[in-house]
Amino acid sequence: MILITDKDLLKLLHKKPEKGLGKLLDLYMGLVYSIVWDKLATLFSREDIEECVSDIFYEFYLNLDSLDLRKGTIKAFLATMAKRRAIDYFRKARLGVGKTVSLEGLENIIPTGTVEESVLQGELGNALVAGIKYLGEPDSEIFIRKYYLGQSTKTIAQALDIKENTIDKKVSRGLGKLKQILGGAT
Amino acid sequence: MEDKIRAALDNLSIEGTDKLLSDQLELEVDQAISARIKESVYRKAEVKKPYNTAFRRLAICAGIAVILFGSLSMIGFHRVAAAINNLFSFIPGYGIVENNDRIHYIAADLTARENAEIAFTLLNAIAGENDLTVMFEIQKKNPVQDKQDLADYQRPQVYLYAGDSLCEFDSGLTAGSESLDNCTYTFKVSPENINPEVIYTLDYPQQGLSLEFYLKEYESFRELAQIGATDIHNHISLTAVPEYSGDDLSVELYPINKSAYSIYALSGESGTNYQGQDLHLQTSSGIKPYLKPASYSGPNTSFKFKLAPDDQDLILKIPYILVQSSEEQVFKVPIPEEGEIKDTDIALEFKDCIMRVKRVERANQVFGELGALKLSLEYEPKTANMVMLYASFMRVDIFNRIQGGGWSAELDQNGVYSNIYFALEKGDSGTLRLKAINPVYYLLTEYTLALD
Repeated sequence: MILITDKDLLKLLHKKPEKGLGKLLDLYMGLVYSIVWDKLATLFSREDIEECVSDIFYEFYLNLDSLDLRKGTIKAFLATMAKRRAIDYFRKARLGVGKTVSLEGLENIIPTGTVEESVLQGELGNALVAGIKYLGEPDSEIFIRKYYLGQSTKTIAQALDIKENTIDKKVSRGLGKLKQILGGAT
Repeated sequence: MEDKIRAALDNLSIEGTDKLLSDQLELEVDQAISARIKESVYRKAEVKKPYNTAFRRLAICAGIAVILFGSLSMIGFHRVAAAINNLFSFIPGYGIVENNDRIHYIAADLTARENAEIAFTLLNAIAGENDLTVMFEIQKKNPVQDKQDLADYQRPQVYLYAGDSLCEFDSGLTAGSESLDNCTYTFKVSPENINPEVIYTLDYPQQGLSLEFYLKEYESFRELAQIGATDIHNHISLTAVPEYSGDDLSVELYPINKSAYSIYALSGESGTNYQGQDLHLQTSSGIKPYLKPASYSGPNTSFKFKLAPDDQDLILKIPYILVQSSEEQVFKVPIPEEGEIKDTDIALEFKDCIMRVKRVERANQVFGELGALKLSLEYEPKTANMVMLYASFMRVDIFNRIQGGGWSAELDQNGVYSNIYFALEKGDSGTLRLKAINPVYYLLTEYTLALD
């Protein structure tokens, strides 16, 4: 796949949306789909999951003008939108509420709650990310796949070509390390 | 703790997500799902999908078949395509026909595109009532030299669109070398999409190349006489194009196969001539056999003859061709004791013939000290003009998985396999489970081609 910078991709999306959309989907479909599927697979049909993924990309496209690359990459925006949308769908389904969710602009994808809660959440999240990265490869990727994308040990094993019991061992050791790194935070 | 990790990661900020996903993650989506989602996004965004870009719906219909490599069906590929190009100027490969409604159109224009890696060329296209066969070649500019890389080489994933509609892949043949892939792919196309108004796109997304073409009717072209003598039987046409060089005659045969079989050979292979007959040239000075080629891959389509200086009235006679059917039958045979003969009468019922395993005995002089199982065969033809030559035999396990196995054969006076010797292995006792596959037949209808 030919790599493209976020800046060029945005330009393409504005000037030649037919090409830009294609590139965007090629680059990030896997990530968005994985995130959505993890959250919704237990409660939603394949069609609903695909509809959710499609909505996320459409929503992103609609809000291109408000995208500020200084705040993050396109990948991060899409992943965060996917998490928000999927979690919203899931909560509403659990509550028996209808599945339609109002569109939210890209500028609104910030955790809600009190300022204090947000700060604490942000600190924990940042610390956790740093801790996961500190584990080194392939352990970092294993943790991302398991806890961010919700993939099973089997799926991770196939993706990384590592034995399943090795994956389990690395997770177990990784959790131990994270506990040490993060102290009482988790 | 794990729940807390999940919750924390679910609520990451943009900045946190960026850091977490800073490295590349390989995450694949099923191509059919991807195609549906893409279609949906484009529809919602009211953006038209492009044709000649790398973006494509990658919905692959369930009917995609395995690409068949080399061997039996790629016959003189380039020359077939070129001949069809000429023959389609009249009626492709059918010559003088009684029923010419099988082929409706041919490619109106033969296009080519290239990038830094390949040259992608449409050689021809044939449209039937509800299918379109495209012949194309892929010339690799940087051919793979390493044998190990060749083993991993993926055959071309090429898709056909009729207008906006992705056409279902039906079957494909590929013959290739390090630098060239010659492909014939057939796609199912709905009848309303077979007409000269539709723009067809042959898309090779892996290379970001596509070839667009229209169809045209074929009646407006040259006459058959400019192409070569053609004869057609059993939905297989053969057209002969001679080339003379002094006393040397080279005849190129172009088969067009619309039958249910694949063409195995156009002449008797060494030792398998039906009743001693084979392709030959009838001349004013007598019958001339063809000069056996040193080697060839797949069925031989090129036949050379040595002429006498005043030879004339040349007629190429092809008493039969060999065709192969894609079928298999699993059966068990008892393994007799040494010196024992067991009557079995096992019937293997193929579409065109019943092969009977009449007797089984041990043959200890064959295949080394473990010996072989000798299977005596008889045949009951079911289809007129078709005589079974042989079927391949393989050892299978209880799940019918092929386990290999060596075998040899004896032919009877008709050039048909009468006895099969199947190598025994250590531990073989009781019964042996075998599979007979892909029977080959003599198709006994003579082709007569009067050469210019």
